[in-house]
Amino acid sequence: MRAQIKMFESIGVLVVFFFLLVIGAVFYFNIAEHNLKRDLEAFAELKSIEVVERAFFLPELDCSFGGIQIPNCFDKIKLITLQNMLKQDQARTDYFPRFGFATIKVKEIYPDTKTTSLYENPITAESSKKTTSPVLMYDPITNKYAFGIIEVETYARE
Amino acid sequence: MKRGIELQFHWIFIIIAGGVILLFFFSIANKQRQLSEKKVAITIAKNLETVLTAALQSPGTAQIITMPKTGIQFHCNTCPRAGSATTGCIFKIGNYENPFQEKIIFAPRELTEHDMLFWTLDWKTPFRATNFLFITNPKIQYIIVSNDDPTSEKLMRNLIKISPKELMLKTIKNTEIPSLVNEGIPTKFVFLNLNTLPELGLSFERAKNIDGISIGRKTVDFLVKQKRSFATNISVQYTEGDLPAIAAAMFANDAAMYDCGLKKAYGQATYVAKVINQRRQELQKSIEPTSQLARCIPAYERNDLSKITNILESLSNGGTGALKSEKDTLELANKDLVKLSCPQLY
Repeated sequence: MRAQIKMFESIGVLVVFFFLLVIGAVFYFNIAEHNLKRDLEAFAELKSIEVVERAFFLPELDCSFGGIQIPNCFDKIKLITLQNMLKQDQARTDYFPRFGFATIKVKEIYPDTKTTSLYENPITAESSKKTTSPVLMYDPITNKYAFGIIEVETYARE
Repeated sequence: MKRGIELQFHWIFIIIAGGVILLFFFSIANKQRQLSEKKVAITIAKNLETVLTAALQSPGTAQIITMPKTGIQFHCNTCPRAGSATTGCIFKIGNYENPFQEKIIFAPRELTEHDMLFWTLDWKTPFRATNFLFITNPKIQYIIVSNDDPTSEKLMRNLIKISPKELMLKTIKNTEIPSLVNEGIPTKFVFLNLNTLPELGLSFERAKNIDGISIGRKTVDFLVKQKRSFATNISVQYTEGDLPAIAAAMFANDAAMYDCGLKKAYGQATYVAKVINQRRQELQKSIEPTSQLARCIPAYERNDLSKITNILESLSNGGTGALKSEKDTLELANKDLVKLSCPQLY
C-alpha cells in the first residue's frame, strides 16, 4: 500500500513536470512562429526591392546614347515594345526568374497621364508589397522627357 | 527483504525515467540545432541573393564583402540552351541550394574565406545587354602569361586595364614560366594566344589548387594540371575580342559554368536586340519623308539588328554565329547616326 502511494507520488511528479514542459514548449514555439513571420516579412521586403532594382536597370528599357546609359530613365518606345513582348508565353516564362509573382506598371504623370502595364503575374489572396519610384521617360521621336513613376507590387505566399 | 527489493525497483524506475527525460531533451536539442543551422543557411542565402542582385546592377564596381564562415559553393550542370541555364547553376550554403536564376555569375567551385571580391562588368553586343558578376577570393593569384605576339600583349594590357586593383594579378612572359616558383597559394594561369603551353617549374609538380585556361582567338580551353604540364579538358567558344567573356573565363569554375553563363548572356541579349530592333522600326515609321529627320531614314532601313538578333538567338541555343563582324557594323552605323544628329539605334 505504501509502495503504491510512493509510486503514485513519483508518477504525479512526472505528470506535473511534463505538464510544465509542455507549457514551456508552447510558449517557445509561439515565440518562434512570431520570429519566423517577422523573418518572412523581411525576406518579402528584400524580394520586393530586388524586383524594383531589376526593373530599374533593365537594358531593354534604358535610355542610352552611344552605349552610355542615363540613370533612372526609360525609353517610351522600348517600354511599349517590351510590354507587347511580355504578352507572349515564352517571354513571360523567360522573365519569370527576374520578376517572379509581381505586377510592374509604369505611369506617366507629366505632361500626359498614361499607365503602361509592363508585367502582370499576380497570385490571389496573398500579402503584397508595393514599391514606387520616380522615373524619367524619354521619347526619341520628339526628343522630349516626361515624368513618371514605376510601381512594383510583389506577392508573397504565406 | 521486501524493503530491499522495493528500493531496487525504486532506483531502476528513477534511472529509466531519468533516461527517458534526458533522451527527450537531447532529441529536442539536436532537432533545434539542425533547424538553427538550416535557418542560418537560408538567411545567409537570401541575404546573399540581395547582395548579388545589387552588385549586378552596378557595372564597373569592385568591392570586398565579408561573408560568414559557412562558405559558399558554386556549381553548374551542362546547359544545352539559355533556358536551362537559369536553373542549371546553383550556389550552395550549407545544405541549402539556390539557383542563379537570371544572374550571370562566374566564381570558383568553393569560397571559404571571410572576404570575397565581387566585381561587376557590363557586357555589350555592342548595345548594353547584361552584366557579368565575378566572385573570387582576393587571395587567389591570377597569372597572365603572354608572348611577344602583339595580339597577346594587347590582350594582356586590356585585361590589366579593366581588372580591379583588389585582384591579385601577375603578368609574365611564357619564357619565364619554367623559372616561376610556387608560392603555395591557389593560382590560376591564363595563357593568352599561346600555341604551345610551357611546362611549369619543379615546385609546381605536387602542387594542388593550380588551374589554368588558354585563351585562343575564338575558343577558351579549360586546362587540367598533370604534374608539371597542362592538358586541355574542354573547349568553349566565345566571340572574338569579347573582353568581358575572357574575364569570365578567368573566374569561371569550369567549362560548364562558363558555357552556361555565356548562353544565358546571349539569351538575355536576344530580347534586348529584339526590343532595339522593334524600336528602330518604330523610328523608321514615325519619321515623315518631308521632315527634318528624313536624312535618318536610310540608316533605319538597315537590317543589322535583325542579323544580330538571329545570331544571338542561335548562340543562346548552342549554335554558332559571326557576332563580332555584325557588332562592328552596328557600332559604325550608330556612330553615323550620331554624326547626322539622328536618334541613335542604342
